[in-house]
Amino acid sequence: MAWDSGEVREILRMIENEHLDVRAVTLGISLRDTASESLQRTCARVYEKLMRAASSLVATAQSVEADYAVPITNKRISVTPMALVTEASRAPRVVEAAVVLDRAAGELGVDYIGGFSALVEKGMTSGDRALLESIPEALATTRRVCSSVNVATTRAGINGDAILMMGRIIKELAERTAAEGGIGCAKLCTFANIPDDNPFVAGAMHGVGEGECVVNVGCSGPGVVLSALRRLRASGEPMNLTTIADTVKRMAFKVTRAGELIGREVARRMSAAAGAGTGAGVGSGVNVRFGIVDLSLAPTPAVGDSVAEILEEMGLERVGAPGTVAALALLTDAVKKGGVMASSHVGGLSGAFIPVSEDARMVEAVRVGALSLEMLEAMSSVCSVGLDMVAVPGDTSAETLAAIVADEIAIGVFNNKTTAVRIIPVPGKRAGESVVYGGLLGEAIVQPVSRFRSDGFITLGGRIPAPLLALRN
Amino acid sequence: MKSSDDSAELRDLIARVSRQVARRTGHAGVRADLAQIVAAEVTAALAASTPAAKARPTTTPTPTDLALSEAARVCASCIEQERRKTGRRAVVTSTGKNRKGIVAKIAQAIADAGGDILDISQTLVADYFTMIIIIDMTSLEVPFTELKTRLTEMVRALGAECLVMHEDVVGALQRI
Repeated sequence: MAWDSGEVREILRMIENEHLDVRAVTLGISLRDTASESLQRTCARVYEKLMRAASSLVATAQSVEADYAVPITNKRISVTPMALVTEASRAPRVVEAAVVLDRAAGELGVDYIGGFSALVEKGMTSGDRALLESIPEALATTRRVCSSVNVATTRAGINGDAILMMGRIIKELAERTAAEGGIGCAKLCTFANIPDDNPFVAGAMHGVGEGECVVNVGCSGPGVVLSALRRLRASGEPMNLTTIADTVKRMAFKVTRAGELIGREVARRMSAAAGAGTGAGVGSGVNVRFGIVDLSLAPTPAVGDSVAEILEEMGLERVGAPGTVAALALLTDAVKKGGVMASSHVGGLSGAFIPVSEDARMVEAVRVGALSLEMLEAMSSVCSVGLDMVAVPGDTSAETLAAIVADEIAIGVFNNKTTAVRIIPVPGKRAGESVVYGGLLGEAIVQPVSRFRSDGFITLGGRIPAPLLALRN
Repeated sequence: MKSSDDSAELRDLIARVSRQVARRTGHAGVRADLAQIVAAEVTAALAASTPAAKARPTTTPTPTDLALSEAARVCASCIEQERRKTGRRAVVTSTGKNRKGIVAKIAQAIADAGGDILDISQTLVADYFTMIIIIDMTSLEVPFTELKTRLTEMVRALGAECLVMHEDVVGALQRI
């Protein structure tokens, strides 16, 4: 037999029992050609382009899913940062653009559309400002639209004015969606060093240097890694830090290969369906290219599909106990090392996600008091993103929210990595109370925030200069 | 090239080499443009090594050029053929409580769909079995999804579970 029966059984086990899936197939679409002097005309062009470029996305993803038996959890779209597209219209508010994105996403059957975004790390144009000021209403009145704002890069430094503005936007968005526990904030990320090809929401966008249409894939697979560590423990083989790293690497390789296979096949079939490659190009169909695999371990609220559980399997009583940062560093690094060999192009965020509400064991750790906001910040210095899906009391001030964002952004800028904040000041809730968002977003326990104020610092305004790290030439 | 005999011999040789290349790389999920790459390489190498090609500047195609491009075309089609053969395989995995005649029924369903069983293995632990079947889908008469639905529903009706997937998945995850 070409395959050892153990090899086939392993894949069967990964898919059926260990939640191996491709978390997201995200089609990045450039909207640079849709800008016009009228917002209305821009919106019409955006709608037309999306409906044309992504018409076969969901059907193709489903057919690949059926053929290869690897589930694709989410089909998504990312677009050019919308501020760049709407700017030419000189409209003071651009909520309409979010509405059109939402309508197209709904009609195309995708789960989310990312890219209601602005890049303001060094300064803000009037188009950027129009988009930022539209975010609360845009996200409160749409369902599938995700927004991200890049407020800093290692090369440019940190835009303090933008961070203060984000604190106020987060606060207003939470209040506008108070009836649903401030869920609007789950669709908004504030970034440092935002990647151009991230397939994961809420930070997905199609960077300005990207091609016309690109398929990016986000892997998942915490369940596969967890089971492998459990088997290592049960096998009687020595279990130490080195063997743990090796085991994670092997599994990350397999998870990534699945993602690469699926991504390439989706791109190939979409191109074939559009008749691209016959010289027709983007004009008639869509020449879809495969972009990158994002190596991130992305948890879901399902039992056994948890990053926290992997850390606890390594020997921590609860995630958040001393040693958590070291364990997470080991995990993230091993995931990258295993994954990078499995894929020809790695990109996006690549590491391990720690979205608190989306990871059942992490929620449990918050509930018992093991996992604090400060520990999460420390963890974010060695993993993919940052303070992700963290709920804080509803009466947290915009200034304090901005200061929390500033801390997290500084970790990214001064460590030359991506960090982001997705924080929800849950209206009417106090520390210790819980709020259920359902689906992949899970349940959040409201975490206490320092009672000491940072207003004097965060309202200073201006920019934090780029770190010495930026002077690399 | 002296005569058409020589040209036929060359084409035959290139065809054989192409098949070997395709066989060796067939399992690893060959890149789609491999045929073109090999064809281009072969043409270039042959052209460079032909004295006539070296002596002559460029422009008008000679009979040699035509024979070479024909050979390259043969090469591409050989690789494509072999790629199709090796790339169109499915792995059927069935697990569940042992039932009389389950193997026969699965085999019959595969045959009815025009699939060719290349290999089959079964392990039995206590009363539970795991069966793995490799199918060649080259001559499949129904779409892959139809075969998948038929097998899954049939096996489920017998109280067992069945997963059908392209062999590429196993190749991608289990081979470097």
